[in-house]
Amino acid sequence: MAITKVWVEPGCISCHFSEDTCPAVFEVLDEGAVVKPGADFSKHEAAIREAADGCPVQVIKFEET
Amino acid sequence: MSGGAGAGPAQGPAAALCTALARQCCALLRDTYLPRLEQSLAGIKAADLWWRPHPDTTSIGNLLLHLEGNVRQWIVSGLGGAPDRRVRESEFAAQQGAEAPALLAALTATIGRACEVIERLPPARWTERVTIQDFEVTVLAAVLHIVEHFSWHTGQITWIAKLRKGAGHGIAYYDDDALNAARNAGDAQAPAGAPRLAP
Repeated sequence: MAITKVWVEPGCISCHFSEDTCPAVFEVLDEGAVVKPGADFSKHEAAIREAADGCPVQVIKFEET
Repeated sequence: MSGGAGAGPAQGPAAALCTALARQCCALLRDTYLPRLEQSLAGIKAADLWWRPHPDTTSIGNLLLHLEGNVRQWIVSGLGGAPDRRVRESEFAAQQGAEAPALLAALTATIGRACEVIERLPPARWTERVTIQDFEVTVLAAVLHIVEHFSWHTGQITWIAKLRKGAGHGIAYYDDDALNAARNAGDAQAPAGAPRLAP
């Protein structure tokens, strides 16, 4: 299963966990964590999963096919 | 802390007091409050973690998010210079989220970062004025604020955890038998009138 889509649902508290865990894919802006445009998910699948699992408010989501 | 008006950088006893204060504050956060939270949340069910008595109050989960946000904003950002992007209202709006271990891990990581900042504060900074969350305070006041704020919410979390776990919750921060034994031993040895501190 490959991760094909990653997004952040509303409710981010900007704790920087996703950015710290997977800086290649996530960054925190004024509105909260976002997925960096053009990020290559295939190279960071483990870190994306870790970011999603550890998100305190569980707003990091991904889709795999 | 400075040595007074017009004095140079703190030295001697003033600098030693700053070091002791920093260490004590970090010890309370890292070695007292966090272990108490870990004990009170051990084995807690997800439903109890996010339980609220009514919509106008907060759950344990909200309080954990709130503590993490408060320490990050006031110390990691406010004193340490990291960008402040805290979204305080989201801490209370969340009605579900991660389980206790993940929430505690995030809080522990932030406490670690905060203690790095606090323990590296040069003595001269403790009386410096800073603006955090729209409050103008001294660095000393900022550090004391997060410690007392953490203590306050640790007590709330403990009470909710005891309530939700019910009778036989097993949450106890002091061993009364050991305390009484120590007191009785002290009574036999201490000189009359010697002061004694209770926890």
